Amino acid sequence: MKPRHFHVLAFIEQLVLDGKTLILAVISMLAFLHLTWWQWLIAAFFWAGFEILDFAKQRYWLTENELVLTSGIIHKHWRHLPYDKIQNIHRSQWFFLKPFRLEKISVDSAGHGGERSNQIKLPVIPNWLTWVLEQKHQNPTQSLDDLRQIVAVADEKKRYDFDQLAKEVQPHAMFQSAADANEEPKKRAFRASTFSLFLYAITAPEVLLQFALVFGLISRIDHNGELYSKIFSEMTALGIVIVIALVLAFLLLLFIFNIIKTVILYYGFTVKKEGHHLHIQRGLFEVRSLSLSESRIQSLQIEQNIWRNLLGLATVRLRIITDRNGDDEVAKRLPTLLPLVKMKTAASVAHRFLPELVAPKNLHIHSKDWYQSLTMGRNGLLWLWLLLGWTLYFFCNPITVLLAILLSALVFAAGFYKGKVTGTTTILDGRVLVMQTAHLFDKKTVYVPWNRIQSMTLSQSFWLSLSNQRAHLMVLIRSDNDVSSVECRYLPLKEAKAIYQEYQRK
Amino acid sequence: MKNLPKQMKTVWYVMEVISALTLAAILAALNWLLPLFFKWTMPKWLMSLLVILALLAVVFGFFLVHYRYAVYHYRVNEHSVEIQKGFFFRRLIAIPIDRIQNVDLDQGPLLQLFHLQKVVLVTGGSHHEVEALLTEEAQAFKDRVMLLAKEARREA
Repeated sequence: MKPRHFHVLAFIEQLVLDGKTLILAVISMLAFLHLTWWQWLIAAFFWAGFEILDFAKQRYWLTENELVLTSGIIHKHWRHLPYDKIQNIHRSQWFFLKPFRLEKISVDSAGHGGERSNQIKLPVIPNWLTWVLEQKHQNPTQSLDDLRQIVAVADEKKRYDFDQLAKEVQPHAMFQSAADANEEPKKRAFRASTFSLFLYAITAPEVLLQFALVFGLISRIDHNGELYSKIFSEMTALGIVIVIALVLAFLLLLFIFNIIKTVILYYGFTVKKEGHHLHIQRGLFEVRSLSLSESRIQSLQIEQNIWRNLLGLATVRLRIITDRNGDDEVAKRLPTLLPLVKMKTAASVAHRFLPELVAPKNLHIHSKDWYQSLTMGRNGLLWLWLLLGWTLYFFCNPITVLLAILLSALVFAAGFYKGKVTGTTTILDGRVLVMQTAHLFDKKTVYVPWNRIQSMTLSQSFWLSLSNQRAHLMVLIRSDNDVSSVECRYLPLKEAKAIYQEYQRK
Repeated sequence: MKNLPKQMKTVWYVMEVISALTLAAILAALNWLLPLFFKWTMPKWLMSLLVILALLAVVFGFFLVHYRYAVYHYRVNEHSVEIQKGFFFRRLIAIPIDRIQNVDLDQGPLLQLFHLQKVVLVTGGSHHEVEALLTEEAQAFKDRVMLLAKEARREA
């Protein structure tokens, strides 16, 4: 394949992104240098020339064994990515790229180090290239010429369903869409309905966070409270009812905005399994897809926040190894496998896709006595009163006392709930460890195979060691390009030691 | 399980002395600089409280060195590396051999003085440390762990 340049739309994106980083420099120049119009024109001309040259020097091509990307004007970079090193492929397609069959991709590799050394970004490339990469990634022995032949046929016939076309053009070849012939396609695919996305959005905790942020911003602008008192006095002249109505209207608008944003981000959410690869796709205006190998999955997490718990719903997420993908806020830390499912069926649906990780039956993990609940409730109160004590000392009035009582009840309840649900078990003939815990009423059940645990720590404070009945168990699991910890606290010592010893045996 | 080398106690005592001197310098600087730059002198009771807290921290630190040394152990076998440490918050850490990707040896100026090296076990996304070993022991530890890790990955 001959070296190719990126599409001209990639150049426009480059201009926009580089322009954004230059804004500060331009503002400084405006402030400190007094340039004439023709000097600005020369500067713009040189900048545009540099950008064009930089764009022209970026080229990519596929060989039989690897993807190659070159860039750089003075200092040239050659990036090689062998197909067998490809780990995940992140795709992104804005609606205005769809008619042209173009998209952006980021390819993670099995390297170590920061973003630059692992991830290759290809801005604005044709769809067919991504399909060829995926085929080579899933089956590196596939001939590049065969794949390019299919692409040529697709162009000729104006048909772009490459998988189907591949089966028609080269039926004898081993193309990766290798679902078991006897297995119903339905079992290996899941599509989230718009209604479930709507429910997902209204049960997300981000609404309250945004509300708090907005109030925080307002108080920064109006730090003397003058603006607030002026508005308040105007409002009270109109009547307290109108004030309440306006506040509610504001909250409602924020709520609606958050719902719309979430539905747009997750619109058309689909998960498919083909062979040992998962394909996750979502988005309305910007369609994002993630293609990952099962071997990259480190653990699965079933989450229930307080609202979803009350409605009997849950979200299923994955911990995967990936390179930094900072521009995808949804997939950044824990890609979503199932945005919203009934809690009763969460395990069975997840089992369809990851039978080696999740058993089809739901687990009911809870502590067997009150010790954990009471201790965690007590700990929460201790930390809270370290802060509240000082606050009440300086600001003691009926409102702050009432707030203190309410907060204490809330914190104790959160700690109590956490203690109630914290526990561990093993499933699938002891091949998978399940750890369950909670944080602020958000219950998390983590399924992790023993061989995905990077390290395990058994800990006791000095005081716990005196009674020697309880211990904390923490595991480290790779997540994103970092590591995350899952901890179950105040487990019975016997249980914690048994798991620790089991881990050492594995 | 093995103990750290005895020289580690001396290193910790020296680190406590350095911390004590640093604390004293900070308190002296606060006492001297605050009136100079901010025209405000710390109340005597506050300064006395800070001095008492600093003294307690230093004495406690010295006192604890012996116990820190007593509880710190490590072990290597063909399946895992285990590290046990901490007096008030006791931790037992197991790192399977095949998760270890690399073993680094670090040596700050204090460790150089006593011919010790810190051993850093690098796993995917994180790392664990054995506080310090004698230089020859550290090298032998590194070689053994890397060999075991290679064999474990080959078997897998």
